[in-house]
Amino acid sequence: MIFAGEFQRGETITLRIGVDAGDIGAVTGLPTATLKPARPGTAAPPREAVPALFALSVDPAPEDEGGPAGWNVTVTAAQTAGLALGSYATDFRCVLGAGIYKAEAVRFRLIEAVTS
Amino acid sequence: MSIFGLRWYGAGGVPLGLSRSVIVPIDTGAATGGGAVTLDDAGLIGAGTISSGGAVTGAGAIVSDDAGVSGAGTVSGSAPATGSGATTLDDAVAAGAGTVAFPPVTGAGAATLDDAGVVSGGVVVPAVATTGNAVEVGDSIARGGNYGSELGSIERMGFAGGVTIVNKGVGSLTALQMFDRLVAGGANGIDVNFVAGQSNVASFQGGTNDIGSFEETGANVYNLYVAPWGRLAAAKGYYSIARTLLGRGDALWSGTNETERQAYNALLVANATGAFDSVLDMRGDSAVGDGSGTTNRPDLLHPNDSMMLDIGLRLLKPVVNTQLLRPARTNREVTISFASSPTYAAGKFGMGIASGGSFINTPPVPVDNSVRPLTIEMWVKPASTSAQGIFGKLDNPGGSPQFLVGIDGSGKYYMNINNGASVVATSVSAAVGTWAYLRFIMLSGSTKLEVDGANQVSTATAVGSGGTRAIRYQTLDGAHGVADFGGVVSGFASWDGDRSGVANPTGHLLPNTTNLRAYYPFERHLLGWN
Repeated sequence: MIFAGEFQRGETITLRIGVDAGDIGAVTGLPTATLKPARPGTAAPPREAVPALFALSVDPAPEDEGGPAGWNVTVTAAQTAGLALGSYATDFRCVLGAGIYKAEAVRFRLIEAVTS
Repeated sequence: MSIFGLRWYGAGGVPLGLSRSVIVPIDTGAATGGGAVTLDDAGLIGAGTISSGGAVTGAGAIVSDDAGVSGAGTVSGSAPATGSGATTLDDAVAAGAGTVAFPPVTGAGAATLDDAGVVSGGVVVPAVATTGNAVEVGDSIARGGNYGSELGSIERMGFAGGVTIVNKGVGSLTALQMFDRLVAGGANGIDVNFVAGQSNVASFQGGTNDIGSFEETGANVYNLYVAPWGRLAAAKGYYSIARTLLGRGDALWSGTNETERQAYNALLVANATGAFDSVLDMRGDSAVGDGSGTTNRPDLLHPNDSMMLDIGLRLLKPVVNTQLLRPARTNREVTISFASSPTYAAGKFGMGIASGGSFINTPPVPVDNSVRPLTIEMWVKPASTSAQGIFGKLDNPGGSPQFLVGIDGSGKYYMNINNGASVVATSVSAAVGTWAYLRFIMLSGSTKLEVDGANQVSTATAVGSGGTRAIRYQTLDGAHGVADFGGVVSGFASWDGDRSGVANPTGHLLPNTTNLRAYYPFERHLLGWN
């Protein structure tokens, strides 16, 4: 599981996932992502039994200096403000033809903000 | 078909992790006819099956990479992966419900597979030790008592009951104290936990108290306590393991301490002196390494239960398991006597003996008269270039030397065979304060001496036999007309065979070294083993 860094409570977190091989046009519908608490002390993804906290906003992102074309997965400021301090994980689900494909889980740590 | 890849990106478009790629099938009619013979060209047609019944036929189907899948997930044909392509694991194909059909890996390629793997249920499963004995010595981080239950990482490795686990961690213990306990033996050492006939593992977790509480340098902790601990544990018959020190964030820990911790970890991982059979390097681990800060450590120091479990099961177990799977090692520690209490100085690797009085007496194993050829070697650092003996074999005590290696009246390294029957000097002048590696080779009809793997001289006189004699170092007192050696000796080795011209060793040697009969590091308390 990838570690994306530390973010502050009340901060908007935007995670970028890009299509670095293949045709982004082959993806049908809008991909989805949900947020779960990460398992403490391990880099393993959260267990299935852990309920998702909420769905994340997924928006198309064109190719730019942020990486190849893909999507921005966003945890809003209001959402991070309501989370407890700790580690969280998400991944990414999209549909290509008859197949469902998921990206590797990514983890970030939420710390207390200095400026509210 | 085509490739579709996803990857996370950080700020500024920096790629994170590896690309997650999948093969996307072509829906219909993609490749038919002659072009469908090989897998790359065939694609999947219709509902996941390959057309024409025979799936992939012809020469292209003989190796597994080309074997197609047809029907309900089975591999067609009676021998899905045969021939040279099937001798490596990558080429083994899965058939049926997750199992590998036929002997999946056969021939020469199957003898490797890390020598440990077994195939079960379609996956390779590393062999896991079912017997053995693992003992840990350490501080509160080893003990695991500060938070949660009284279980340390070593008790959370999840071995079956045939593997004995002993945790001898003690809160606040320093590496120096752990070393002294190992030397002293008894209930606080690990000698009492040794199980003869089994593979024994001694795991070391410590040093943070030396650095944090006593402002000791990382180099000192490693060189004076931890590395000697590893070598002594190995001499006592254990496979020795150490793990890197975790970072700290508590108030006691200073920036200087952190610098020393990192220096210690670098020395430990380098293992340049051969101190440990294995080192668990946790520095780069995403969950517990340096980049993880003090996550899962409530007091910014001690791992909580989940982190203990993570270290034990995910990180420590594979290292311990590898050692437990090795053949049992026996206790080879020996007793060496001195004319007077020895003093120690910096050796070639770790510590060495600077003085032991008029003699240092070892067991006779290194110069066994029944073994020829036999090579003995030692690091020496002279304190003067006047005539002096360095090591020799003589009656016990005070007899005539069967051989003597030393510095002659002109300051050259030389050998004296059979009490003056043959005296041959090398062309190498001894230099004060400079280490030299002396190699003395005893053959059936001759004797050789060389310095630093070269500069060899020889004589047709063979070292005599007879009598129960022991090798001595820094000996040859006035009775033989040669002064005691006044420098430092370190890293004595006795080998089966003629090792003429072999390069100088780059570290201390461990007991499983091929053809090594005996090794005496001459470190503080760890004098040697046979």
